[in-house]
Amino acid sequence: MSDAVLTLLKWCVLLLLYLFFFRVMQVTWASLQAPAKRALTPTAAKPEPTGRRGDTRRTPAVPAADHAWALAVVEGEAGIGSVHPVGDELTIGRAAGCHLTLDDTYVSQFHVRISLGSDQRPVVEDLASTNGTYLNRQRVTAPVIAAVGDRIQVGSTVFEVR
Amino acid sequence: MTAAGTVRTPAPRTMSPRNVELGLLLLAFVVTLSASALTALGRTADLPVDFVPFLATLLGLLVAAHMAVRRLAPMANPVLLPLVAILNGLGYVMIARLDPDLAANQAAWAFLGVVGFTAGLVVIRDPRRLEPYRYTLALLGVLLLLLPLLPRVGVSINGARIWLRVGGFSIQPGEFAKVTLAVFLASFLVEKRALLRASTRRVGPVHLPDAKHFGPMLLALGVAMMIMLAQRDLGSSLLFFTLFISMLYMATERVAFVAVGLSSFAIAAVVAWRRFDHVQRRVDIWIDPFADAKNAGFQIAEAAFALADGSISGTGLGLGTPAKVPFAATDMIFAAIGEELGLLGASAVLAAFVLLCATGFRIATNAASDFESLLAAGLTALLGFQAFVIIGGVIRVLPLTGVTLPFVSYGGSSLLANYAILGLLLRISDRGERPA
Repeated sequence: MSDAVLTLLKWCVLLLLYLFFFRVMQVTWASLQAPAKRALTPTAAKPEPTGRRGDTRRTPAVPAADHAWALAVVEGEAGIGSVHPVGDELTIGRAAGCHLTLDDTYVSQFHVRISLGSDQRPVVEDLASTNGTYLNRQRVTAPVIAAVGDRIQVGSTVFEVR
Repeated sequence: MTAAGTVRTPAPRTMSPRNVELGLLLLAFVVTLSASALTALGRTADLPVDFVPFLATLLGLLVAAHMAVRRLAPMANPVLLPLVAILNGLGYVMIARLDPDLAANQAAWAFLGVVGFTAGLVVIRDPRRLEPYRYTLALLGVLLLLLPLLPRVGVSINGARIWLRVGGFSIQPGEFAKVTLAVFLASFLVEKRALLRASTRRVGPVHLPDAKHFGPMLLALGVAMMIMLAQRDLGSSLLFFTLFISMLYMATERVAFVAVGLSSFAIAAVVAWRRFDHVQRRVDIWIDPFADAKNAGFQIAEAAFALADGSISGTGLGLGTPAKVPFAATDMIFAAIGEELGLLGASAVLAAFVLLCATGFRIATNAASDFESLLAAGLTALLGFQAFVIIGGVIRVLPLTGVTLPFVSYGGSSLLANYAILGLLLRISDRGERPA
């Protein structure tokens, strides 16, 4: 067999080898990127310039005191359209002990707690989750108050506050 | 793979991890078989008679390993097994090219490795059940290390007394000791991490916790290090020490431990260099292998020549002379790969280890419990450091210490122990990805 053919074949093997690594990188990258992509998914064209939330500017239409707060699944792998009442407290996570258990790799065991604050408005509190909780595409770092129409993203599931 | 349009469902996520794994395994199979075919063509311009049985065996092993994971750990990370398959495959091709007899053994050991790894996945459903046996495992590790010192069964090969000869086989029990000692360290550190994190003593600028909490761990470390040094197994003692320091750091997040560990290592290294001839000799060879290139520096010098011959894309499989490097199939296999596949092939091996470590640490961060997290991180660090120590030795970044390149080098014990590590990582990954 001539040297030229062998050289050509050698490059083919090297190419195959790197094709393998390219695929591995692709798979790894996709698994790393999946939640971030979702976080950037425009769910509603809502300009949200500041992180300070919960002021009265968006809630006057709904009387806070006797509103029955609930979360509706608007996006996700399963259960789109289902509505989960907040009650006094609603915990979401992968663990069976949560009020709402999500079967999602990107959801931590105890991911987020939504509870009613002193003024009966829901407070979203991230429980040090690995991939974070997003309120209107902004990562929740400290407990924030949510209003009707807000979108809460937990892993690949997006809830709308109702 | 494009997720254009509907960003909600990127393709790799909707595909089950097992199907992704199967695809990657088939790709690894194609790479291995084409490398193997090319080696034969390069050497003899013909395919060997046993090429078809070889393909069948290889495919059978890959499919068996894949089915085991599919049945026993369906949610596990999909890239770990293919990375191991490509490392083991490339290593096998190189070993077969260097010495067909060794290759037959290596194939048998790989088969046993897959069997052992399947059995491990069957038996260990929950790695936390290993925790109660931590001291048993530590003791087992020390006993395994001591075995080669026994008269009659223990033998000394190439200056290191780390072998057991039973029947026709040589076994290196220390390879298994690393795994049991990693399990011991993980369970011990998880329980004591709070105590170890607290600072009660002050030594100069660093705060250290009370020494009493270290007791069992320091004892295990000390005994293991003493045995390994008595056996003149510098590579393994270096490896075990770095495993210990990195696990301690990962458990406590205290940089002070790393500082203390590294400085004591530096002191020990200088003392060993001054006191022991064989250490001094290795350092001299490392600094200038060409001073005595025909004798003492022969191995390193030949490795350098092999890598230089390889240049960017290699001499071509089967077309180089990697057998000139002593121990080309075991310690120096990286030089053989570098010669015949060049910088590109050698970089691919490095990339495989980088990806293996990245995947291992990702498994650790997603693990279901602290123990599993620390165990996965420790085992990953073990694989990574081992690859670093031997590749560094071959390319003259570090003094050469004889350890195997995981999954690539010839060596049954090493292969079995590394498949056990793979099994544990896959089990931890599977549990971490499952809904609770």
